[in-house]
This record gives sequence, structure tokens and C-alpha cells, in this order.
Amino acid sequence: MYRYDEFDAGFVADRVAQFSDQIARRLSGELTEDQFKIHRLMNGVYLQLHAYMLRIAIPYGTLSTRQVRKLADVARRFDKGYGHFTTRQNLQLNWPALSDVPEILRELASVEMHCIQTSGNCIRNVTADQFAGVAADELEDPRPYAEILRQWSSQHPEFTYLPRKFKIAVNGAAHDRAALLTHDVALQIVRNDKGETGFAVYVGGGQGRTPMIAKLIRDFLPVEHLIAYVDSIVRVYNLHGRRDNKYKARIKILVHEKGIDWMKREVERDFAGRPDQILMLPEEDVAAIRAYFAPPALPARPAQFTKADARAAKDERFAAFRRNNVMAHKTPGYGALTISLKPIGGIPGDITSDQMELVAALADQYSQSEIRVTHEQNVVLPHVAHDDLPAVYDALAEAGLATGNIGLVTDILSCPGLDYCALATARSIPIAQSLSERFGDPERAALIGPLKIKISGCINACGHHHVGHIGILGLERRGEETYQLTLGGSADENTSLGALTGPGFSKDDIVDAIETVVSAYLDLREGPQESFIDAYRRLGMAPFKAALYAQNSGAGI
Amino acid sequence: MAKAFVSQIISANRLADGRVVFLLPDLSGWTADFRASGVWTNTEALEAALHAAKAAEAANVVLDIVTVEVEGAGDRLKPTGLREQIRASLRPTIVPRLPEGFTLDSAHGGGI
Repeated sequence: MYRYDEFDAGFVADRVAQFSDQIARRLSGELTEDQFKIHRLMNGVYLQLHAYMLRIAIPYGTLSTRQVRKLADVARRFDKGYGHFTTRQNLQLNWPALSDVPEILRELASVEMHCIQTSGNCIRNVTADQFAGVAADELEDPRPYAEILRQWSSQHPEFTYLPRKFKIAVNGAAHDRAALLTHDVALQIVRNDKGETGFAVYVGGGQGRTPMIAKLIRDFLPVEHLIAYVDSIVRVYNLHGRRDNKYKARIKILVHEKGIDWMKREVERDFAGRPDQILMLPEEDVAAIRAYFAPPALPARPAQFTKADARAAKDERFAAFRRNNVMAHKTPGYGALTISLKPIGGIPGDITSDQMELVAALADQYSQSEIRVTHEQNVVLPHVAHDDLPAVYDALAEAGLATGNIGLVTDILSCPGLDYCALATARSIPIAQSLSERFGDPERAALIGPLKIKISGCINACGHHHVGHIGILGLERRGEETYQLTLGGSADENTSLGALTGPGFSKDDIVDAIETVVSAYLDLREGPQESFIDAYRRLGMAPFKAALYAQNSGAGI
Repeated sequence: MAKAFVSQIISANRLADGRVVFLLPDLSGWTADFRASGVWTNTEALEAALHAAKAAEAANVVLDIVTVEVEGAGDRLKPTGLREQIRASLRPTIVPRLPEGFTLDSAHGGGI
């Protein structure tokens, strides 16, 4: 993974010193809250329902064990002993004191971590496929490009005060695991007819109150033009994006209102008008960054998984764990293991300091000291030999981290919701917990097959409900929590936005409503091989709507 | 006909640590105990209390002052809205389910 050089370390140290001084001046009253707020947001500090919240950047979801141990230590010393992995591959602490933030930032800087640009109207954490560099289906590792974009966007003088937040994602396989088309700019690694690597570039995606799917702006962008072209996109947005209305300030609105053809013309004109070589990426510079992400030298492991197969033959839970949580690795004998942070009845994405330390220990012993974070709020040990899986599983089981449910109905994505968030209109976590318990039987989950439920506690859609196969949006109506249901969303290479089923459901009825949808799917599918999303796309909304509002008549509100 | 005054408390976040606090009945300071907060039952009293709250904000003790409608009294005092009920409880409504031997830090407020 990328290692800081002297410049990087100095950059972060300078920011820590600067923000620490700003905090001191805020606490003394020399800065008012209005003066301070923009700075605290740019350094990842929010004021939430119960306390401050600190969002720690995990660039493209890649962590070392040294960093995970530091996160565990910081959570224990300065918070309540746990953290929350977010839908943008970052970690949030829910209870830090502002007065402790300078020391927290110094601790994070000691392991090459920071909170810079994790909030505010600037370019945020660049996210990527959690299996980058290891997936057998990968064309090329997207992380070098994510790292280049990170360096380019950090404290960019022109883009520090954009009309609104700006999110970029990069993906390196044909299968989109980074939710590309929900981003402001998305970069899909492709090969052209000459076998050259480049990017298909998309612009104008986003969720929130006005969800939109990003549109193709360039079908092949050579690598050497990556920064110059993305820079042109952001320049056009910065110039033309609306600043009169916070809710219409994202680039998706600009693309929607002006059209993709207009956007393409403006971006190409800006790009073509650059002086030669400005922001071009020399191959040797790209190669130097790529070198940081060279795959580790994995010891050869046998192609026959004697231990794992023997264990699976007699332990169905282990078999399910291996079947659902292990992704095919480029190197024979290995797999990329996703550790579910969705135990049955648990809080999606939460992890305690103790659990972080266990994951770090397992990564050191079994995964080349490397850990990844997924945008679906799980963590990954990217290099686990198949025959080490039984030992890893047993260790994880003691920590409540061995649930074999990745991609299944109980692998629920949920924002913090009204239990934590000052913007929320309803609770999301208790709904996730109830759904997890309702569908917690592993045999039933296996019968249902792949199903992504995503829950947001308000229209800002941090829970990605628009792109859930089943999406749940929590709102407040006449003082009561009410939950709208959407069906048919997807965040992969066939990105789609969910459609509203009809009237919403109370918190007492929403779990039954989901049960009704799942039952309708099981009744109507062509067979176990037809997943929920495929069945929905074949059947449309009608049969699900009929089931929901016939069986739950009077419950819809 | 003017809407009847609904009893209110005054809440804010402590500047140094962001924790939720409630203005005391005698306006002398802030408490983290919701049930100990001052309850203002008329416009004049509420305005006087807000004046004191804003002075605390100016003195960098608190930020983000809000008034919260409440009902009941004493041990039965509670905000009328769910959001403020959750906020007044000083914790999320959820319960973590930890495996045996795995703990949350108790030094910073006793678990979640």
C-alpha cells in the first residue's frame, strides 16, 4: 500500500497543527462557531445528535494492521471503544471531545492517517473496489489511480470551496463493486481495441433527495490524461454548479439541467485548452505509484483445500461462511475473505476496539498484514489461504465475526439514522436489527439467495436505499416514524434506482412488509437460480405491490 | 385564537465535548440530567432563559441552543418528539450485542 514520503508526512503534520490551532481558538472564543464550522467540517468533525462525530479517512478502503490497531486504540482511549465503518469506506467515531481532537489527529498521523476532506464542500475520499489487486476477475488494480486522485485533490487550491461535496470512485473489474454510477465522477478501467488501458468516465451520479445515475462522458480516457480530464470536469462544475440552493448544488443537477452533451462540450473544451503537459501523468510517475501496490509474494499453497473441504463437509456453518464470504483470488490456493460486520441482530458496520485488534492479529498471521473496508460496511482480509480458513473462522467466531451472510438478506447496509445523526428523520439501525433477526435462519437466507437490503434514516440517503434491491427510507410523519419501501435498485454494473411501492409502513409493520416482498419473490421466481433483482426486473412492481397492499391493507400509511 | 404555550426546556451541546446539556432552572448553568433541567411555562420566562443561554454561548460554554417542547413533570417529564426524546436520553436506542469477553470502553460514559 501507499507509504507517506516526507512531503506527505509534512502535509498531514501541517494540517494537524493548523486545525489544532483553530480548535484552540474556537475553545477560547477567538473564533465563533460560524467562523470555525467550515474548518471543522473540512477536517471531518461533525456535531451530531449526542456529541461530535469524527470521520477518519481510509483512502480507497485500504488499511494496514498497524493502522487498524491505532484505530482500536484511539476508539478505546478517546471514544467508547467502538467505531462505525461507513458507506464510503471511512471510519466514524461517535463520541470524541473537540478538546481531544488535536491529540487524536496526532495519533492518527503517526500511522499515516488523517481526517482531511472527509466532510465539507470539497473532493472527498476516493473509493474503490474492496477486492482491488486480488480479485480474479480484475482487469487492473484501481488503487494506484485512486491514490493519484487523492494526492491531486488534497487541499487543491481551486477546489477547496466547491458548490457542494464531490465524490469519486474507481473500479478495476467488469463487475462494479464500487457503486460507480452513484458517484459524481466514476472511473471504470477498460481496455481499448489496441489493448491499451484507460478509463470509461462517467459524471453526474448521486443519491440523496434527487438520485441520478451517472452518464458516460468519455468512453476511453488514456491513463496519462486522468488528472487533466477529471480536473476539467471539476473546473466546469466549480464554474457552473449552482450556489444559490444547497439542494441543487451537486454536479448531478448541473448535468441534469444542462444535459450530458453540454457537459461533454464544456469539459472537452477546457481539457483541450490546457497548455501542453499540464497535469499530464508521465508513465514513470504512474509506475512509481503502482509499485506501492505490487501484490505481496504469497507463499505457494496447494490447489487442493484438504483442511477447508474436510471442515466444510462436517460443519454447515463453516461451509456457508466459505461459500458466501470468500471471493476468488488471482493466486491459486487463496481467497479474499469478507468478514461480516452484520451479525444476526447486530448493528451494521459497527466494530469494537477488541474486534479491531482481533482482525489485525488475523491479518498479520493470515493476510499479509492487510485489511480492506467495503462500501457495504464489512471488512476484508484480502489474502487468506483456503486451508487457513478453518483457523480464521474459529477465531472470528469467538468474536462474533463469523457470520456467513455476505450478499445475503441479513447483510444489511444501514446509515446510523436517528440514533446518532442530527439530520435523520427516523431510526434505521433498529429496523436493520429486526430484519436481521427475522431472516436470521441461515437455511432461509440461503434459500432466498442474493438480496441487498439498504436502509436510510432520511432523504440524504447515506444508507444507499435508492440502490438497494429492497430499499427502506425512514421518514417522520405526524410525529411518527414511517418507512417507505423501494424495490429494484442496484449499485453494480447494471445500476438502477429503486421504485416506490406505494404508501409507507409504520415501524411495527415494516418488517412484515419486507417478509411479504420476500415471500412474493419466493413464490414467483423461476427457480433458485433467479435472484431477487432478476425476478423483479422480469416481473415488475405489480405483483409485489399487489402482495404488499392486499395483505397489509390498512398498514400502509 | 393564539396557540397555547407549550412548556419548553432549553438544550444545547457543550462546546468542549459536544455532549448534550440542559439549562438549569435557576439559569446558573447546565446539566446533563434531562430531568433536572429548567422547564419554562410562559413566553416571558422562556425569553429570559434564552437570554441566559445565549450568554453561555457567547462565553464559549455551549453551542447550538434549541428549545424543546416537553410534557409531564418530574420523573414523567419528556420531550414531545421522538428525536428530542432520543437526544434527551443521551444515548442511541439500540443495544449492541457483544460476544462474551468483548467489551466496550466504560471509561468514557459506560458503553454506548
